[in-house]
Amino acid sequence: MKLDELKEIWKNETKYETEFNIDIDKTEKYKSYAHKIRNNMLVEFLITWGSILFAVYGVLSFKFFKSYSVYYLIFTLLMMIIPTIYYHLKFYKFFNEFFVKDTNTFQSLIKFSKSMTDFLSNYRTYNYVILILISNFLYSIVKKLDRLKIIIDNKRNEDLEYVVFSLGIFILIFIILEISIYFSYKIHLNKINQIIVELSKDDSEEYSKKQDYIEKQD
Amino acid sequence: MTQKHKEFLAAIEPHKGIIFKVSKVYFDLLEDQEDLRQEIIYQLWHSFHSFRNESQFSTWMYRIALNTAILFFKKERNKSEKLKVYENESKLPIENVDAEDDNLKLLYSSFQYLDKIEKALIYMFLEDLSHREIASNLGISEANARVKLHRTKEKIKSIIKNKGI
Repeated sequence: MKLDELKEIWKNETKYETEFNIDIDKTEKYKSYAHKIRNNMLVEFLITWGSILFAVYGVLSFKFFKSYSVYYLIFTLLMMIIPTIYYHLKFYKFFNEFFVKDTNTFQSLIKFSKSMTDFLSNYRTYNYVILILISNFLYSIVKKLDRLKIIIDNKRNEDLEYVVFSLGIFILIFIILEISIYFSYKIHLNKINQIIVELSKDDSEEYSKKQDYIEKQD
Repeated sequence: MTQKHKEFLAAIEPHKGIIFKVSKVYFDLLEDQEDLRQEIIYQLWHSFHSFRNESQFSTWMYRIALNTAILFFKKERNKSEKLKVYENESKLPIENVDAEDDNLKLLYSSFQYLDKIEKALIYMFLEDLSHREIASNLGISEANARVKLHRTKEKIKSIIKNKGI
């Protein structure tokens, strides 16, 4: 059967008229690369703020540790505020930006890919800044710990070491999660870029040459 | 339901065949089709405020629906589910296709061998869109659209022929 005949059958299909109802309330479940990225962003947001709150709680819960750590903690948090606000403003802008607008496929994909690339660059920079600040915080605590060893008893030393060790593990987990999220973003961005490459691959010149060749042969 | 909701539903109702057919071109399983339909409706609703009467409503719907389908990813299935769907690779799985006509079933099932861009191209061809409209919807040159469509048509003819139907 020829494609043109199939086209006629296709045009006459009316099955959907009886089967398909549009229900706007059922539109909460969605799956696309862009939404996967949005979900990742939500996870990232929760991990970032959950980690900060957990770290603050962890340090403050050790009362004997409080007087020395609070100074560093407040300093670190203040230093983190500027990049965090800047990053999350960008984050919010990107999060609300939708990839499908009334533009053609190629343009909307290019636009989305560009925004995503910028976002990933911001994400990387933000995480470097935060990690440097957290590392500085940890380093300061460890240095303080050495000094404290002279004046406090062994039991308390063990507690302090436990806190630093826990924070170290926590930061390690945080880094692993952030790296995983980064690669998840990258994977989805690459898939979108593959589609862009496929669309932009212009093989019309090659086709014209082939057609010319066929005409000459005839 | 707000006035905006009502306007939206009234606007897409006459063109809901676009959503239905795009979902069937892209997926053979009903569950995947339903997911894609939901996603398209979500995207249409989300972009509804950006629709200006510069283009026809159906043209706007084509673009949104195809963009969504191209970026949509199918739910990962385990091996037993995949086997169930494609028990016999030598034949097109037309028994899974929900359509009124056997030839239409054949057409829908053959789409599953095309990539995402090819599906968009063949869909627009079947909807009788001109090369210029296809190129405009995808954002590529008209010459490029013509070549890509020609190749896709050849591919689909070959699929149908090779599968012995």
